[in-house]
Amino acid sequence: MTPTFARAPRVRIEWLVISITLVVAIAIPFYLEKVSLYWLHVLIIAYFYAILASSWSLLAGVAGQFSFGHMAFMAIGGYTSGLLGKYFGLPPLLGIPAGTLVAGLTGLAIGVLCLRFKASYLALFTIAFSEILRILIRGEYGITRGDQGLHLEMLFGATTSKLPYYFTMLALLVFSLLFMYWLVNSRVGLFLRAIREDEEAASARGVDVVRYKLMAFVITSMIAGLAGGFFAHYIGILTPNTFVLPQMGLVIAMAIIGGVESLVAAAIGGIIIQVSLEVLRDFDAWRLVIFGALLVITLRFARNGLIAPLLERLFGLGPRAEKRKKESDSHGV
Amino acid sequence: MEFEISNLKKHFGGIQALNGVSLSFSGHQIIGLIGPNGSGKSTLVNTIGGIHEPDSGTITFNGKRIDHLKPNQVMQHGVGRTFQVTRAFRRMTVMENLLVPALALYPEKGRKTWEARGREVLDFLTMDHLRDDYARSLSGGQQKLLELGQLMMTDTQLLLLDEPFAGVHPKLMESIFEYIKVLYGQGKAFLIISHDMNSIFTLSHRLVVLNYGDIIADGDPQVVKYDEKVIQAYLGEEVEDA
Amino acid sequence: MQYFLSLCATGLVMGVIYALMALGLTLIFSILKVVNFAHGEFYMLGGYASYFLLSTFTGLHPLLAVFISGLIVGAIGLVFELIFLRPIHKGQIERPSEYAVLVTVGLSLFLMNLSLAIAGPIPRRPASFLAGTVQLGTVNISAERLIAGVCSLILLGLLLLIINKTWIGKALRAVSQDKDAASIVGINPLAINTIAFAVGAGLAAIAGALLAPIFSVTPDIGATPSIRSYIIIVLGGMGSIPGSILGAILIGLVESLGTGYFPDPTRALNYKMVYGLVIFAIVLLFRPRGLFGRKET
Repeated sequence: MTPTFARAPRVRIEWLVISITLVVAIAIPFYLEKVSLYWLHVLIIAYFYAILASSWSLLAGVAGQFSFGHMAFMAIGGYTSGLLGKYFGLPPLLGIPAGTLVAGLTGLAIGVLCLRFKASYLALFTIAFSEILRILIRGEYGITRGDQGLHLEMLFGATTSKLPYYFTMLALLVFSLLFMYWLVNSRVGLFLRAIREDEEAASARGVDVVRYKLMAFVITSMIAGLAGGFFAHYIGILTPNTFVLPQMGLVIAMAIIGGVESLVAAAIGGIIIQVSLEVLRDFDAWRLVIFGALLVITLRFARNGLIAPLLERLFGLGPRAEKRKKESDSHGV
Repeated sequence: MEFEISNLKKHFGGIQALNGVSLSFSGHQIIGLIGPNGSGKSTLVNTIGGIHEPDSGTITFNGKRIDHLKPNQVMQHGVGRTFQVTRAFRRMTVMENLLVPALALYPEKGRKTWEARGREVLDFLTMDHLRDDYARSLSGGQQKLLELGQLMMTDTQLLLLDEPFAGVHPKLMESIFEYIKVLYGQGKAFLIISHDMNSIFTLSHRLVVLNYGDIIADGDPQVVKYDEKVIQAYLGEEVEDA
Repeated sequence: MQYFLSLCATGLVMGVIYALMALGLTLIFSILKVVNFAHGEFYMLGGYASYFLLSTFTGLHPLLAVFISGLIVGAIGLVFELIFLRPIHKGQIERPSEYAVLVTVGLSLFLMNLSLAIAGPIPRRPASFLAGTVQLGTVNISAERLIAGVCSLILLGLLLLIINKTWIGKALRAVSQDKDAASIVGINPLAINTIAFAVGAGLAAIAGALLAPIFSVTPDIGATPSIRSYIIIVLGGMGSIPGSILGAILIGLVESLGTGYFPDPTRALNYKMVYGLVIFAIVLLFRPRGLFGRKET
């Protein structure tokens, strides 16, 4: 039995690390603004990928739905806002919510269509969906400007400073993580995991599988759409290349290497990989070779990811069960 | 409690798995369901449980039709089932396994209330010390108990047990016996599929025998035991060879 | 009419080549029960192998280069299967169906970027086997495509012969139907798995090598044939060999006719995959077992 006093210091460490991280995250842009705008931009993009990786891990790692459509939802968020802005003059502050909504509705539709699909078929169908959408956007360049790129209004208008974008993306990351974390720890998370473990058994135990599966699709596609909308109004231009399948593969790699069942680990995986890609710029294509290899090796030898176990050990997050069992085993109980 | 299956039919491809099965009871009983392999026992339980939709016929429980419902809706009506090969949620803790049906059916009661109830159930099953362990680290027998526990969390009235004794340590089997008797004493009804003849004869108030989708016998276990049709069904071609 | 016939001819020829690659995927799926998401990358590697063989060994006969490319990529497939897929069949992997999807996706990422890192983004094109066009009746078809088509046809025929008439073919069919029963009669399912994956990879590579002189090779050319192969095997019925051949020919025709009759020629090529993708989505939704697939209980 773990004596209760042993718990208190652990909780303090958790809050300490989180506080320090937040303070650094809030302070660093001011420093970078003076020293290197490039790295400030890298961090913004890193947060963007962190949002995508963690929301995908909610759908795939927690709910067990390994969808390849995530980047498509991201693009829907961006393109909806961009097209509404271009043809109806809708300002970004309205366009981004609109994009989020459309992404959510599409997520609902895809979720409904995929209800009966198991692993391979879900992957294949969502790949087909993503590709059809990408081909359409690319082909109808009369409307979308295709490969040339759709121009979008900057969210913060004439401001040249990257600071508001940085803080907005950081806020999006923090709030989406908080929201998803709350969800996972609520009964919804319980049901999603039950569905992941065994859909039929979950239903036999009273879980409305359809409702919660669709909920997972809608919530995660909305988060992706929101991130996409904001991303588009930061970069200022959107092309169909933002969601070619290798991009989806990269997000998957981030989530898995981080730890696909842990939202925070997946987010950290996203940040670390994106920053590493920039740090290793000189290695060109070899960067992705490394991450491709890392993905495959992680899957084979470290299924829970590389970052999630670290988080568990440092903060005692995650199931105590295996640890307790090991303890009781070693004490010969 | 009122339960009635009326002329239930179900086919798969060319096979008629249930060929007009009728079964009913009032009050509460422990019904044993036996029959040779492939006779339709699991199909019957799966159909009552909502995994299969019957081709025709009705299933009524306490005045409400429960055929053509999804498994989670069947559970809401108070009918729960266990699986022949246990399907507890492996990478969730024992307590979480219990919380799933509880929170799914009665979310308004809140997690704390249900956790307390969960500990009661686990105490009853002498598994409280396992509550924070992953279900996958439990032994086969313990997993069967866990499934039983899941049904005990909410007010499941009719429990369909699919091979609850299969592959279980004899001592644990005795425990499961006792648990079933206690739950029966609390007013619950059971439909138990088992190949373990001893257990079935000891426990059941009533024995139903299925063969090729038909009920060929239904009544007092001691009488059914000696029913020629039942013996024939089990021995099959062996009798002819002799 | 002339136009229609020439589109059909191209469609048929391409269909036969697609069939070769799809057959590889079907083999892998029916025996390992795994959709190989890196299949397109094997195709791409086949193209590169052929290119580098022909540019290094200038006297090498192009068809021999194609064959050797198949062997090289088959070997790569074999190694991957041993390290990353065999554990599934030995029960060492949790949640195997997800794992299989993700690990082949990872392989796809790895191979594509490896090729980019080593060979660079510039398209490579091995010398054509034969230049010019050939006239078949009233229809013109490029000699290159025709040779590729004929080779594929021969290879397909050979494969069907092996699968249906030889012992190894019987072993393959046995494992695809019932792995446990096959092992009882002395067939080693693990070895069969490895062979199937290697052969599947090799077939994709041969298709890639055959088409390399026509379309040239870049690290990312695998994506489209990959998707096309999924479409074909789902259309034909996952695990069905006649299904994948018929499906391939249908897709070849649909692509060719769809592109040929698309109202706006400037965008026609962009939409080439859409017809197949839409068919794909419809089949997945309404008849997941495809034309000849087994119905899952």
